[in-house]
Amino acid sequence: MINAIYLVIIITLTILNYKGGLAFMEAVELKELVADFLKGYFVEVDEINSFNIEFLQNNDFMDTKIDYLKLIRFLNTAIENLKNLDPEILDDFLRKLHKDTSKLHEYYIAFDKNNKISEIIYRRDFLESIKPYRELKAEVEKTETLKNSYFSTIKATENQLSSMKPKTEAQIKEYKVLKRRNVDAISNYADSKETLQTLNRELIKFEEDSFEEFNRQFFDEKSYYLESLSKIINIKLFYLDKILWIEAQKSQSIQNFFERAQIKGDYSMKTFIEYYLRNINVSQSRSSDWHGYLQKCLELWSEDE
Amino acid sequence: MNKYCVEYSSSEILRFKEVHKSYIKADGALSKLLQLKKRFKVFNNISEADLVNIIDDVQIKKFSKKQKIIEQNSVSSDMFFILMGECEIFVDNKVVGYLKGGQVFGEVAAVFKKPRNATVVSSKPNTTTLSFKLNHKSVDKYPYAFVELYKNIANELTEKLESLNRQ
Repeated sequence: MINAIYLVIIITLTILNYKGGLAFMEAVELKELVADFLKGYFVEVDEINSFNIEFLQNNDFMDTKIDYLKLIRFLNTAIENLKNLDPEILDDFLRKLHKDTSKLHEYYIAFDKNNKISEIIYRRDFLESIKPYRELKAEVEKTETLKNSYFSTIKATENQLSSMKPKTEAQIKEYKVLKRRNVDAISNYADSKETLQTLNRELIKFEEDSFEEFNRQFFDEKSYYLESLSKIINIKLFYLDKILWIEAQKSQSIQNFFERAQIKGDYSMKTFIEYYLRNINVSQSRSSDWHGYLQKCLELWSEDE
Repeated sequence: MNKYCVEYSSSEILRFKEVHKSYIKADGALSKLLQLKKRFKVFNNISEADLVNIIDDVQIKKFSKKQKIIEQNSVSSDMFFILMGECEIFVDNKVVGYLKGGQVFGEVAAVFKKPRNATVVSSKPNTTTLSFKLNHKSVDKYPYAFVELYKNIANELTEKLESLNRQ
């Protein structure tokens, strides 16, 4: 009996406790929780972004309207071709810049890919980081265990009671004690079932509310970093392109090649694309794709002019 | 993390700056303007790279004494810096003010594309100006640079007005 009262008290406290926990969590508090979590979650990309933005701003880097992220494939091809013409074309600095842009580009792709599905991050990382949520989940499990144990008691006492045919006073007394245990277990089972429902409702409500807020902030942050990273990479690629051609212009072997191939125009990526376009056999399907891509590259340049 | 935060030495940064040079079209006037940039308040908080893109048709001109640089009611959109010498400002043939080396004029017509408010005449021999036009087509591409420029021009005009009031 004392045990039963004790359990009722625990369950009541559980309900009271969690009604003061997640259910009363203010919208502002939730916003802050999500913001704090995302601050930690995006700490690496934030450092990379801030470092590179500061570097570009401090050194007066020029912006470009050309979308180099779309040209990166050709830029890499051009670098390989120029290297074939003049193995010395990439000095330490250009190699460093090329590696820098390639690494940043890899990071950009991985960042986008790894953050495509917010629900995974939300469930795996965010929810588990919230103490009241963890406690509520633990309480659900605890209540579930309690409910199961009451159910076992009900079954056990019912079996015992059905097999008892009390005749003596002692037997009747034992029967009454068992009956009492059975009634208590039924009552506690009902209470714990109700508690479980309340707790689960609260758990689901919190998950729904917080997922909405999480998604909103998560995708805002993600878009900001993707846009910023693409801008950084674009500017660095623009400089890589320009410096590459400044060097190409100085190279005797590249000058000879331009002369031999009768390439007209300045030493630039645009001239090189035009040269490639002239020399592609469009009848081959693979070349046809490449031709289409180069046409698009050329259009990107033309838009900027 | 470091592989995404690459440091460049000062000599490597100079290699980046080579690109800026290739964007400065071959005329010496623009190079001169960039050299003198810090002397002109109108270019405060505008980077070299942006400046190259928001201005056009930079010219250095020499004027003999009493030569008209701009004429009242005429339509042109150059802004002028006085590199050397002095100028007089006339409105309806009356002298209303003076300009000396380092000062700017012609900014109202350059910004608002209006006829000139005054005539400016060189008052010393070999008065030299550096003039340029604003590349209004690049406003969308360099909005912040234009905001700074307009802000600086507004300050410049306020100073001029105060100076005229004092005179």
